[in-house]
Amino acid sequence: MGGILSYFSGLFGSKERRILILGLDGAGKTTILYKLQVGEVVTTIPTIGFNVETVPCKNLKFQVWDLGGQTSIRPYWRCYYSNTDAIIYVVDSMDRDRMGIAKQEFVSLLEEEELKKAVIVVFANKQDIEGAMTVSEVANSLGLAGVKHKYQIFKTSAIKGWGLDEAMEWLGNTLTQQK
Amino acid sequence: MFAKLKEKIQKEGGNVSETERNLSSTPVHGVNTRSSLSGAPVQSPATKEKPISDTDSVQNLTGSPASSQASDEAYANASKEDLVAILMKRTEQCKKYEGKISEYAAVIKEKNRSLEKLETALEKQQDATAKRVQELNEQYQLSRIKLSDEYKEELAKKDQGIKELTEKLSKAKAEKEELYKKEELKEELQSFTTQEMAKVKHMLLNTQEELTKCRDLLSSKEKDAESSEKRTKSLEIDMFMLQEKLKQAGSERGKLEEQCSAHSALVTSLTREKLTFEERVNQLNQELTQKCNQLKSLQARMTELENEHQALVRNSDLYKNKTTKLLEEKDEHIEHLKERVKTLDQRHQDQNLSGDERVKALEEEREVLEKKVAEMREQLNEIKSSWSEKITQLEDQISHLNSKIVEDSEEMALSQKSSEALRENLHKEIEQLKAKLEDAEKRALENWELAKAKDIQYEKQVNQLEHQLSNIKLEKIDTDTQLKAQISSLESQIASLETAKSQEKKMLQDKLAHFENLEKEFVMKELKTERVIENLEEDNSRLNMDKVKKKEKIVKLKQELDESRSQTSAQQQKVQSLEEELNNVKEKMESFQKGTKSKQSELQKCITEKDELLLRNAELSQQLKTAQLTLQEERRTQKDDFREKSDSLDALQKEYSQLQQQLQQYEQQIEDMKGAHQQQQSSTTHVEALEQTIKELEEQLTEKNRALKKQDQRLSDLKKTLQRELKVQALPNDDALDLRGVNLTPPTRRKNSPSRLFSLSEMSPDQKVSGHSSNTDSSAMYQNGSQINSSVSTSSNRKLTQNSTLPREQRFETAHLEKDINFQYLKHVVLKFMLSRETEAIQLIKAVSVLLKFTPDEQKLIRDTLEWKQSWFGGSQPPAVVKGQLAKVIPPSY
Repeated sequence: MGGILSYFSGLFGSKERRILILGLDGAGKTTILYKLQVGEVVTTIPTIGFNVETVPCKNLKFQVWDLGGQTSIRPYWRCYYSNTDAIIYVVDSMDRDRMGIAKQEFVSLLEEEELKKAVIVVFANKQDIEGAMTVSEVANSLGLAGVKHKYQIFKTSAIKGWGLDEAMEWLGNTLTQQK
Repeated sequence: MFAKLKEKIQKEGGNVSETERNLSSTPVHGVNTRSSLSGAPVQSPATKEKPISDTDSVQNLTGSPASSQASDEAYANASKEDLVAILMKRTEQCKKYEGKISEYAAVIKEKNRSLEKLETALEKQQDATAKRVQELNEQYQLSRIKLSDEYKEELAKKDQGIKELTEKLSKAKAEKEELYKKEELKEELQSFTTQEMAKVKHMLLNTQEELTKCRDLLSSKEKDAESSEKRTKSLEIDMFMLQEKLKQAGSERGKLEEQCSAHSALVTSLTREKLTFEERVNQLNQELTQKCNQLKSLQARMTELENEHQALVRNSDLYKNKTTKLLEEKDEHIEHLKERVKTLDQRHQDQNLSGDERVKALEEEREVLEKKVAEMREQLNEIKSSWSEKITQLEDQISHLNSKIVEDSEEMALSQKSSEALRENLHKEIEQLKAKLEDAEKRALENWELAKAKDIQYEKQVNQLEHQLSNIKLEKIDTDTQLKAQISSLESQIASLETAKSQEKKMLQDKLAHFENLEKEFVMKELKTERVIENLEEDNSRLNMDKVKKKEKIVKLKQELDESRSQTSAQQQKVQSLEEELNNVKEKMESFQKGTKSKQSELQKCITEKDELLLRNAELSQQLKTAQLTLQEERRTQKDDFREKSDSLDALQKEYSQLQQQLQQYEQQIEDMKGAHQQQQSSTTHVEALEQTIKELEEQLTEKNRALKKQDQRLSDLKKTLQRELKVQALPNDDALDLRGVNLTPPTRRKNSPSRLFSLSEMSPDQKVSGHSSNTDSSAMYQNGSQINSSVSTSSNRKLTQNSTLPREQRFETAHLEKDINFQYLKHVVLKFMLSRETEAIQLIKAVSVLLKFTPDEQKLIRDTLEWKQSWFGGSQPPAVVKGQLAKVIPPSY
């Protein structure tokens, strides 16, 4: 069955791009995933494990993997890195305290050999809340200036739906250019 | 009957008795045998006595085996009972048979009675028949008598009738005899008449047959005559045709003869022309060779002259240049000297003047001299430049001359080549012409041969035709003889039939005469036609021969003519071209000779000029040397001045550079000062921030220390409880739980290790800043790590601790949570792995294998099987299937 499905998807649609949504727990990864997929804000529970959805964007199809971001299951992220085209790193702009951990995870992520060719998209999430860190602040705290990958940062709000479409459009364009 | 019956009955009865006897005797016999077997003589066949005797035998032990005795006893018992039964049956049968006998007796009696009755009936019937026979005899006799009487009466009547009839018969016989006589007479008459009639008829038939034969002959002869007439007609037509052809041939022959004569005349003229042309060609060739030789010699001379000319030209140019240059230089020097003479004159005049004036005059002189020096320099430069230009020009000229030489030589080579090529072409053409001539001769010979062959063929045809004619003649003679024979036979026949058929004869004679006339005419005509034909054929053949010959000749002549014409034209053209070339060459030669003469004259002039110029040059060079010496002296003085000035300038520049270096040093010092100031400012801010963070971290440290203390207390509690639990109960399920715990814990430890290491090594502010939510997690991790550290010492100890933790999950919430999350994660991933399609499952292999600690081989196996499932046309068997106890795949049920 899988063979048949993949065969027909290969015939009628473009190749699926594999995208991982990563970030600390409570950053809003699952909310972003379902906002992208369904277009609605869904009530979520902490993800222990992962969620996979296919999100169409222009001519491309994104197979988006939302991996649980809890501390104990963060080390399993590296199990999913192979064949990944892009990474959406979601940062909670309100969580100034854990920005360091976010940076650590981000840096270790960038050092992975399997992600050398991956495109990085950083979502400075929860921008709808007052007093959130600005995009430049988030960029500074993550040390984005030293990133060698192809990257872009967007200020987003999963609940309001800000910036998601732009980010996905940029991602689609860069991925089509890349291949 | 009865006796037989009785006998039968007796026999049957005897049989019965015999069987009965046999039956009665057999048991006794069997007993006897048995008794003989047993060895004990028992005469009485009583059943009751047997066991006793048996026992006796047993008791006596007479040597007979007990087993056989026992069997014999059983057999004896059985036979006796059977015999009794058989006896009973026999007695019954006897009774039945007796009954039957009585029945038979009754039947016999009845039959005797019926016999007696039948005998009585027979006697009665015999009596009745005798009576009837008697009656019938009487009737017969009566009827016989009656019939004999009637017969006699009828006989009498008939005898009377017979007598009458005999009378009549006699009368009839007489009449008959008369009739016979008459009939015989009649028959004789008839036979005579018929005989005569037959004779006459026969004669008639014969004559008719002859007539028909004659008619057939006539008709056949008429047909022959018609065919011969047709033949003659056709022959006449042929004759006409042949005559026409002959005429045509004669006309063609005349024409051809005319043409032939014309062509022969042409050929003779052409051959003459050809000979003349060939002679001319030979002459021209000779001339050509001579001219070529001349040309070669001339060319050689030309080259020599050209070389000489070029060398002379070069020399003259060189000399010219040199002389011109020298002359110019000398003119210039002369001018200089004149000027100097003027200046010296002025000086001389100035010396006469007083002091100041002298000074002024000297200054003026100086200025003038300086100007001159400048002018001299410029002139020198100009001269140098002009010299270089001249040198370059000379070089160009040399190169030009060289190129010209090369070109001339190339042209020479080309002209030689062309002349050689022309010669070769001529030779080739001559050869080609010769070959063509040979070909034409060959063709003529071939045509001759063909003509001869055709003559032969024509002769053969004529012979054949003659043969045919002779054959035809022979045939005609034969037919004539045949006809004559036939006529003679017919005449004989006609003579015999003349009496009966004179008219026919006459007719036949007339016809014969006609035929004879016709035949004569035919023969005459045929002879004439034959002669004519022969004549015509002969003429025809001759004409054809002539015609063919002449045609061939004409063709040959035409070809020869064409060839000779083409050759002559080509040769003429060639001769013209050669003559033209010769003329050209001559013209060229003349022009070259003229050129050489003119160049020689030029050379002589140049040599004279050169001599003059050399003289001038020598003079001028002496002047130049003197002028150069004076110039060098002046230059040296000026150079000394320049050196002094340049030294002073260098000193000034050094001073300037030193000053600039000092300036740069000062500026750098200023910048350094500024940087230091800024660094100080920034460091102060950093220090403040760091102090703040240090304070925060210290606070967190204190909090964490507290938590640590609490957890230490909990740990000690736990240990105590564990020990208690261990003492109290040893669960049988421990091992299973233990295994699960072991499976689950390693990944957690692995996960925690980097973070733990991080926290231990750096104690980074980030970890501490991480906040309240993560604080608990990190502390839990820390605790877990410490727990593991403590338990690493002894594995058994660790197992004990984990055993103790499992029932006490509620107490250690953090550990439980940790484990729970891992377990949940494993569960979730495995569930998804199982539920997902192959493409997604392949991506999840890594996660599952990390969670479940699969070896690389196991990972590969999973990947291979998934890919196998994914592939449409995969093999029938999944990859890497190990059979037996180590099998990791459940074997398929099919």
